[in-house]
Amino acid sequence: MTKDPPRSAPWPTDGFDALILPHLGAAYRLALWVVRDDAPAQDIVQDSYLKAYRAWGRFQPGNAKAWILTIVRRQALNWLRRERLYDLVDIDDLPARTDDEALRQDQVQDTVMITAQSDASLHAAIDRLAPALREVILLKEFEALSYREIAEVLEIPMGTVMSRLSRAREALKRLLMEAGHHDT
Amino acid sequence: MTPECRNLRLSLEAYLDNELGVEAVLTVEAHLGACPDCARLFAASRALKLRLGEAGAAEAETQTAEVAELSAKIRHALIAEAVPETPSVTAFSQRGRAWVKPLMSPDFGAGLVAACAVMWVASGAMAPRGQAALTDELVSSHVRSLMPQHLIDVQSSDHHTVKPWFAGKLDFSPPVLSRVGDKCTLIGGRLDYVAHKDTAAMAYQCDRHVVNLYVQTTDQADARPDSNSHQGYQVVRWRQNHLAYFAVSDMTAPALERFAQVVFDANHGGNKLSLRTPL
Repeated sequence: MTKDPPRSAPWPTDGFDALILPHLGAAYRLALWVVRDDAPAQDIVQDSYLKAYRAWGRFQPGNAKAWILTIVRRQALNWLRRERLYDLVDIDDLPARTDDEALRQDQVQDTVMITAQSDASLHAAIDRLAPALREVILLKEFEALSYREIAEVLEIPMGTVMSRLSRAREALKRLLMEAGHHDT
Repeated sequence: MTPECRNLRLSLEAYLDNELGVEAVLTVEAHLGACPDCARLFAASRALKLRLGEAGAAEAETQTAEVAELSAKIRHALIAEAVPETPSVTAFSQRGRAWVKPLMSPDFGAGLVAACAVMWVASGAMAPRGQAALTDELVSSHVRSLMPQHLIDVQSSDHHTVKPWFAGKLDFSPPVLSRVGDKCTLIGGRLDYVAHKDTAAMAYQCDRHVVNLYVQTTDQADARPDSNSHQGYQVVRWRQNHLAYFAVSDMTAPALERFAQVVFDANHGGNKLSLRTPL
C-alpha cells in the first residue's frame, strides 16, 4: 500500500484522492489568506497539489491535512517572495513586550461586544493582523488544527505556536475594540 | 493581577483549545474560580473563539462553488500529470501557466471531471465496445463521488442504518454489508443514476482506497464477474438475483476482485465464483 507508484502510474493512485483532496477547501482558504488574491491562490493550490502528488510516494502515513497545508503554505510564501510582497516579519525575533500588564488591563474583556461582532468585522480585524499572527489564527480557529499540527504546518516549535496564538488573540480583541469605538 | 495569573497565561490559551492535560486543567479551573480578572479574560477569549469558528464556517460555506471548481481543475491537472504518454493531455501537462488560464472560465466547472475521465478512459480503449459507455459512466460517477462532499448522502458504518435509508428511495433493496473482508469498511451510501436507472451506491474505505459499489436492477440473467482495467480504475461487474453489481476503485485488480468475491459470497452463501484470482 505504501509503494511508490511508478512514474507512468495513472491517477488517482494509492489513496491520494481519498486522503488529500478532501482538504482542498482548507488549502484554498490558507492560500487565499496568505496571498489575498483569488487567482494566484487557485494557482498556488493547484501547483501544491501537483507537487504533493509527485511526492505522494514519500508520504508517511500520518497527518494528511498538515502535510498538504505545509506544502500550500510554502508555495504561497514563495509566491509572495517572487512578487516581492513578502512582509512576513518574524515577530518572535522582536523584543518581548514589556507593557504586558498594561495590555491585559485595558484590553477588551467584553464578551457581549465580541459576540455581537459581524463576520465582516471579524474578517476585517483578521486582515489587519500581522501575517504571522493571521495564519496561526486561521489554522486554529478556521481549520481547527491542533497545536502539534500548526507547529508542523508553520515549521515552528509548539511553544511558539502557543505564544503566537496568545498574541494573535490579544491583538484581535484590541482591533475589535478599536473598530467598535470608531463605529460609535 | 498576580504572578500566578502571569504564569497561567499560556495555560489559559491551551485550556481554551483543549490542549491541556488533566492535572493542568484542574489547576486552571481552580484559578479561574478564584480570580475574577482571569475569568473575565477567559470568557472574552472563549467568546472570540466561538465567533471566529462561526465566521470560519460561514466563509467555507460561501466558497463551496470555488472549491468544487478548483477540485475539478486539479483532478484534470493530475490526470494529465499521470498519463504523460497520452498526446491529447500531454499538451496540457506542459510546464507553465498557459494550461491553467483557459481552465479559469466558469463553464469549465464540475462537468470537466467527467469529461476528462471519459476522454482518458476512452484513450485506453481497453473495454469491449458494448460495455464502454457504461464503464465510462461508472468511472465518471466514481470520480465525481470523490469530490468533497459528494461521496456520501447517509454516513454510517452500520448496514442497519444504510439499508433502511435506501428503502424509501429505491424500488429494490440492495444488500448492504458493514464490512467486506478484513480491510473494507462501509462509510456510507448515496443514490446515483447510472445507465438511466436509479442506483444504490455504497462507499467502502479499504485502507487508502475508496470503493464504490453500485447496485441496480436488471432483467438479464445472472452472470459471472467480469473485471476490466482502465488505466488504473478497476471495474468488476456481475449479476446476481436480478441485481447488477459494479465495483469501481483505484485498487489493484486482484484486490477489487477479492472485494467482489466477498460481496458475492455474502449474497449467495457458499456459492463460489471462479474469479480470475482465487481467494
